[in-house]
Amino acid sequence: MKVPADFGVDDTELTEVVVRSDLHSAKQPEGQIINEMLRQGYDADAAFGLKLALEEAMTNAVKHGNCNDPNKTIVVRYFVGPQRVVVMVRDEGCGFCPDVLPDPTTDDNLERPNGRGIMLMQSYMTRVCFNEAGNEVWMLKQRQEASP
Amino acid sequence: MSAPETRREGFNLSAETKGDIQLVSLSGSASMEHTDDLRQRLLELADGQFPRIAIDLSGLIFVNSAALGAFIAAHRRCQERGGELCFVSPRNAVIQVLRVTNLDRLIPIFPDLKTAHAALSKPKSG
Repeated sequence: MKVPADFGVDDTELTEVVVRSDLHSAKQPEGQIINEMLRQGYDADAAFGLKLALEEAMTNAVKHGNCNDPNKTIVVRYFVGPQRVVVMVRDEGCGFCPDVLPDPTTDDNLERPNGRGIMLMQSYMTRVCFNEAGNEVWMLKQRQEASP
Repeated sequence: MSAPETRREGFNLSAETKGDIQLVSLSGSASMEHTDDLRQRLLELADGQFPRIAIDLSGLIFVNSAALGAFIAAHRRCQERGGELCFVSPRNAVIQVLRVTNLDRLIPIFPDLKTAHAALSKPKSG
């Protein structure tokens, strides 16, 4: 899947990083992206939101997509510009259907220990979309948008 | 009585018992490489002699959904054992995550340890 047309970034502008599928290696792209955001003057709230959304995507990729198999890899593509940040995360799994996840904020689901990752990504990013298979997520953070 | 600390790069959990309440202090970033340890440690504390836990979040600068899951699991374990779990003085960024997920409706939040200690010390009605 190419970068969504309305994300305002061309494929050729993206930096690609491939990491081993474990929770320590999965931190590597996060440092690069957050450091670049701070260098370009994004505030702490924007950096927090991006870190949160990216951690959720990477955790899903390691644990659910790649089933904790360290021999698999995760592909991250990103762009940090003055007005927006775009991040893509793709794992080697079969994907899932994000539309069928229960709402974790309802009374019935409040005590469930899992199921908040996608909701947090959607809350802290301007836009989140998945490819058809569900193993690739694209996230857009506009600079001027406030945190939830 | 003090429990040993779990210290790893960028994240720290310490716990001490005061009366029949356990005071847990979290600091740093509860990010993905730390949340499995966080969950295990909180469940051990909830399974301990005193299932009343106040978690001081004043030093915590980052929390993700897996850390929230650890809090919920410990909260449930405390309740199953007739106890309670509460949060104390989270920073703005963390309290925002608790509000977005509605967990501020599930787990009480107190402004300071004294208030939390008083609330947990009250006999439960019913």
